[in-house]
Amino acid sequence: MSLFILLGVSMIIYFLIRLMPVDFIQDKINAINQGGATVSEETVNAMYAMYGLGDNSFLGILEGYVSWLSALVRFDLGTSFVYGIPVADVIFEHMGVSFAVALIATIFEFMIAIPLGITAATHQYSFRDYIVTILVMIGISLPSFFFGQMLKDLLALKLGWFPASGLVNATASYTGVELLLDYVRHMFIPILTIVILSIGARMRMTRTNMLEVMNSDYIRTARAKGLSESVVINKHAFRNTLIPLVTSLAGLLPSLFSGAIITEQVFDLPGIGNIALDAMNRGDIPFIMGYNMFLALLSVIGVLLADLMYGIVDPRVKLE
Amino acid sequence: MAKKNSNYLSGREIRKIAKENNKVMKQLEAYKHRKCDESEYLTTMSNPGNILEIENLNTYFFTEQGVVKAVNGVSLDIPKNATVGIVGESGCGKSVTSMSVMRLLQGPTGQIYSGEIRFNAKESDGTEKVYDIAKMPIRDIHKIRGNQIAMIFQEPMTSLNPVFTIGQQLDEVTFINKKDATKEDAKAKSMEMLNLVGIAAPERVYAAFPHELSGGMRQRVMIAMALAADPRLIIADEPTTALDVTIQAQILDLLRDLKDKIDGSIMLITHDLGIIAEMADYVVVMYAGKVIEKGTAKEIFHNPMHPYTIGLQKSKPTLKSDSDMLFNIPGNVPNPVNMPNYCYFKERCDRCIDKCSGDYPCMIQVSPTHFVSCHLYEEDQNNG
Amino acid sequence: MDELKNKEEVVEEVKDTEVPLDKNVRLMSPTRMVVRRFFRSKLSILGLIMCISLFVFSFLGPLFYTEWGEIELDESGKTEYSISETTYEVNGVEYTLRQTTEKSLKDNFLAPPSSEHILGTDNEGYDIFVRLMYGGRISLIVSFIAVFLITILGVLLGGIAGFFGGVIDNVIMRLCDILICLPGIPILLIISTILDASNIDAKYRIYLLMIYLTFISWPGTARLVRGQILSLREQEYMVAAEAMGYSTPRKIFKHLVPNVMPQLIVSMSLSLGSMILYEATLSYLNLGVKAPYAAWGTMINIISTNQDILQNHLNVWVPAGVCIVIAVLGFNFVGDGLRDALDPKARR
Repeated sequence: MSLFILLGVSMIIYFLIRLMPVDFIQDKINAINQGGATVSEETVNAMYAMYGLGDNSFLGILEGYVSWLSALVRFDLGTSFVYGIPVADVIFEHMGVSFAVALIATIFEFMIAIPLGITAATHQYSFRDYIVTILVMIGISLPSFFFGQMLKDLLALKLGWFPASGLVNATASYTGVELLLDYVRHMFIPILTIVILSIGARMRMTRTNMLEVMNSDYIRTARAKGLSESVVINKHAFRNTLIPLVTSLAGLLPSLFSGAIITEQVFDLPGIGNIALDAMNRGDIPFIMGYNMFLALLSVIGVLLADLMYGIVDPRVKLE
Repeated sequence: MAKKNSNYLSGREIRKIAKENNKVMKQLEAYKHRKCDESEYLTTMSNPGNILEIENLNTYFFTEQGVVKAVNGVSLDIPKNATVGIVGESGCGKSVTSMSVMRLLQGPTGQIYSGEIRFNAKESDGTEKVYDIAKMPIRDIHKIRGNQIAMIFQEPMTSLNPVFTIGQQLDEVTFINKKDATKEDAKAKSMEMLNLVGIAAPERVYAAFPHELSGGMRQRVMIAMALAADPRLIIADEPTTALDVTIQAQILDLLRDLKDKIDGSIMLITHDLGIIAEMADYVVVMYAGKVIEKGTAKEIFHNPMHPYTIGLQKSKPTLKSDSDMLFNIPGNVPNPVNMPNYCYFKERCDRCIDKCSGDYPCMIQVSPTHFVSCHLYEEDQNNG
Repeated sequence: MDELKNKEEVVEEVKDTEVPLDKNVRLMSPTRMVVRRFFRSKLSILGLIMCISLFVFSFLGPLFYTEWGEIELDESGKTEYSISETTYEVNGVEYTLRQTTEKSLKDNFLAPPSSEHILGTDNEGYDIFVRLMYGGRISLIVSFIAVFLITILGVLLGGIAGFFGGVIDNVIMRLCDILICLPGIPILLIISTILDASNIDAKYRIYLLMIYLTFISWPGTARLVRGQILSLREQEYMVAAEAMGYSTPRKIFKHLVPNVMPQLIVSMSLSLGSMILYEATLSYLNLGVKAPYAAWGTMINIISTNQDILQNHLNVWVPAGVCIVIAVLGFNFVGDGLRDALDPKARR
């Protein structure tokens, strides 16, 4: 089933990409032309053929897709036009930064959102609940590019606490701990941006689930047993609230590796999202293809993983 | 249907209700969460033979449509080692009464407005202490909830936490009540309880999750859980309604046996007169948030006095009756918002007299144990 | 004989339900209950005010504030006069030569807020306040049409899948799976570049992107509707409707639709917010509305290349961002308020 989905996804992506006008070879030829040399018609055609982009009819695209697919079966995603190295290598090279940022952000997100969501639910309609609700809404409503730029302007440019962009300080050559600290300084604002933006949805999810659980019969039983309110909340209710939360963790898998395109663009981080944006503008078909398939694969795995997690945390669900 | 219905509240009235409700609810919530000394809610029983005395209890729900007086001046006693059955139609306030005793009302809408719930608690050192549960702040409620009064709920299917095993949930009770209990102690106690409620394979059930058990089994587990803390009073809120008839009989037998074994009292809430007849020593009949008749089981079944009680008994199907139609009491239970100040049963009563349009009838004592709230018997009182 | 008795009983019962006791119980009408629940939350009132004021601002604003148009450059410019003085001494007499040079900048760009330009002008010389209004028009229109289309498509396909089941259900649901697995923004980028090449008028390309948004967003609604219909089909009252021999359309329109409606309304108002965000992001990446036309996202776009504006000309980009936040926040507040108001299980 998942294979079928991946096949469908890859087909749609490939056809769309082939329709893209941004022509890598045209750019290359223009560059050569600007250099003063002229490129003959035959050379142009030969170059198109070399990159497998010669035929833009439906059949030609189909052919290209089939050859791409057959290469994929051999675990070959092709060679990036721009970088001249295998696509898989480009992806892995730039994944680290994105993964680090996303992982740290996700950890903070869960650590902050879950307790806040629970207090909001257990103090429903209180002042605390109102504050959390407003925070949730603001988090959901802020556009990432706007908020990122604002933080950048304030924390980096106005106050000068953190570097505004990039991953390392270009002028200094740090090693060891200093290099790590430099990374941290550069990643701070991007992570802060992601955490503030994603925390809202997670908090809302926790609150809704918690409210539902708190109204259930077994919570009444737990209270009737004489358990203190804190045990009722932190043990009985929390364990049940955890089920959808853990499941949603699996669903986050794609976002852990895919990189936040907008945030990386704003802070000019050399993460995979930023690279993909660049590749899109330059018509690096194998890379775009590989990147999108990577994302699709991750979301399919995410769904499977969610089912698996569900089976682990919820005893009612039996794994087959 | 779109036409304007005069039965609907106007916007102004709704705002007025909300404003008043908020004020009262805030006060009551603050009272519930206050910190106070134990002496503030210590009291004495009016009759030391009782384990629970409810006096003039008012439990209200502050809804958007007005104040629902779900329990409206209820008074009843539960003697030591007795089973008291509370009977009435759905919505008559019997469950709310039990919830008030357990202080499990869903705040902030549901609140004990006034009244006393005196409970005779037995401390671990053997001395007795009388608490007024209605005045207890919610933070001190652990003194009685679970260990002194335990409750069995109506819905065994949803009343057990689905993510913990039966064992975990049973052990928990022991851990709450014995601070120094080890894991082995807890398990031993849990197994003992599972055996007590007649579960054939306690080891298997101990390790099982609730969803792996049938409804009857779950209700047994619920009972085991209620018993695990050796409570003085067990409140059983329609313990058999959700079960099928054969299981019902088993559970009831179990409850009856247990009462003798544990030396405690049972407050049995049901709408089934058959169950009451089988189980109860005393019967309290409730109607629309009020107690209309109470007495020993014998008095209520052999000499019912309130027209509603008589109607209830007539509506019980019997094989003896030659009529092929079931008797029913015409009409519905009135909605308990804005109750009038006359007998609530007046409109449905077939023995109405002129006096019934007057004030709500007060409780009349017909025998040392038998009370009824009906104008029909007032003359008797005066004459006698 | 028995039948007669029964009838009498029924008549009696009808009379009984009309006794005064029931009459003095006055309830809230269902509509009023929903309205009341909605307005009880201060946040939903705030959201409603935000939405309405944005509508008024973007749709009525340009009718009253006509000093500048959306793509009207302020060409008044600044004319700078510089006077240079040179002193000559000829034969002991001092002569002063005053030379006036006129330096004219045609476009009045990056003007600070003034009475002429309420929020100043941007780097091209457009009036920011006016462009905010036109940007709002685009955002609101686009998101409304997109949500409308998503709902229609989602209800139709979800309804068909849920109601007929079997092969049809399978096909539609697999299609949903595929669309949900498509990586959203990357694909959006690809499509946008395709649109770039096909030389579509800058004014209309956003509508095409909107159709694409519809295309990838309908599975959410379809799943919601299908899930609801499946669960409702299992409910007792549907079995009852079946038993009473209701026709299929009647079952759908009288019983299923009203039950799906509340959830649908909530999801619609919430997706209005996310559509505005989507549109703004696209415009920010310079893939949505293109210059010279205005969109909130486009107005922020400039700062990604121009550090000077980011730091020193907050009036150029912050108002647009604030507008986006107000819009999304407004719709989210309203959606949340509606959710609470329409939920029959809500306790208070």
